[in-house]
Amino acid sequence: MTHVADIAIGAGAAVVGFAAVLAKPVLSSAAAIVNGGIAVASGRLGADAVLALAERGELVRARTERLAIELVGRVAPPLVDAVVTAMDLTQLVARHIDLDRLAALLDVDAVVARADLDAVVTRVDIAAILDRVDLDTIVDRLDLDAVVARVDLDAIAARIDIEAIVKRVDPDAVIARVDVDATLARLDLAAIARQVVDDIELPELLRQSTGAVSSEAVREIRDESMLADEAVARFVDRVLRRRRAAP
Amino acid sequence: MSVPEPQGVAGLVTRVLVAAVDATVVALGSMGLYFGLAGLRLFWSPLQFRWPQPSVLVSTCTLVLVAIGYLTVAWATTGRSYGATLLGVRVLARSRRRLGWMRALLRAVICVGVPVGLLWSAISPARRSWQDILVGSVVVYDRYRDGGEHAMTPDPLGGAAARALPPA
Repeated sequence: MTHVADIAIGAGAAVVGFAAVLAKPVLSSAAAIVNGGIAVASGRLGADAVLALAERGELVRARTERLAIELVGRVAPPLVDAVVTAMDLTQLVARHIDLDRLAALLDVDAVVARADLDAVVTRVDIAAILDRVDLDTIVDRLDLDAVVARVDLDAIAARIDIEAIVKRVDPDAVIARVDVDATLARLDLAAIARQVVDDIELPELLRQSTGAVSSEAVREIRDESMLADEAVARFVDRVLRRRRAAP
Repeated sequence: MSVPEPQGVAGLVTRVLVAAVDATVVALGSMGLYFGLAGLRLFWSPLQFRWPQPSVLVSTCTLVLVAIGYLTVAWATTGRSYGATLLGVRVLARSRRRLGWMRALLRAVICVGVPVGLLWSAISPARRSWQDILVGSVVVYDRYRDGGEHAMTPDPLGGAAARALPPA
């Protein structure tokens, strides 16, 4: 179905074309237009003529749109720039826009979910930020006691899997990094040995141990001699056919 | 075999061991006396020093005197010579008191002069040697380190120590 608008535009274009073609004899053109208009108005215009007008109208509309786009592309930026320069947009926004209401409408979670935070973090120069931060001032202003008092250290400690941490530690590597010689050089081993000897009272210990050994040997000799006494007494009693008194 | 209670009168083996230890002590003491006298001689006249060469009689007498002195002092004071301390016996009077100096001296003389009398303790039913019979002493087992207090305390229950003694 042929668009009525295109037909109208085609008609307009024909008029404009007519005006543009000034070189053509005004009268003939005017007569033709008048005739065409009369024909259209009277319904006597042919179908071919209507199609031709529609095609022309479509062509002119497309050209006009292109021209409008080009015109807007050339005119709009400087125009908008000039307008924005002339106006205080910040004040304008503050005056006419309810930012709280606008923010309430925002689905922040969706925004965050769509954001590529890794890329953002990658683009951030954290070192530069840290250079600009005066940590001393921040720490001075912190009430660390209050912060620590609010921390449930027991709960934190309970959540730490110490066994897993210990399993990940390589004792050999740790020991390899220890400078044992330097550590020993800093120790006063003689003083430590003296203190240990004083604490455990080594001379007393040796005296007791040797005394225990010797007393054990003496007890053994005494027991054996007593048994031997008994054996000799029994032997003599047997030889003399003597009955021993009941113990 | 269980070890009998350490009380009662000491038998032959223990006494012989005590005597052997005491003989060693006396021998060492005599050697110490000899070297002491030699040291005194060296100190007194170093240029004319020569080792003392006592005769057999002097040596024997010295040994006997040292033994008698040593045993007398030991029995009269604590009732224990070194050998008796080592073997855990004590020499007391039959009344379970200290032997006294005179009886200690007499016992020491008899022990040194007639050591064979020690063997009678194996034959005697009460394990008494000739010295014990003559002096009225007794050799008891005593492993306490209380100066003889326990051994000199009469046994109220009439233990083996008391029963081992013949009636007075």
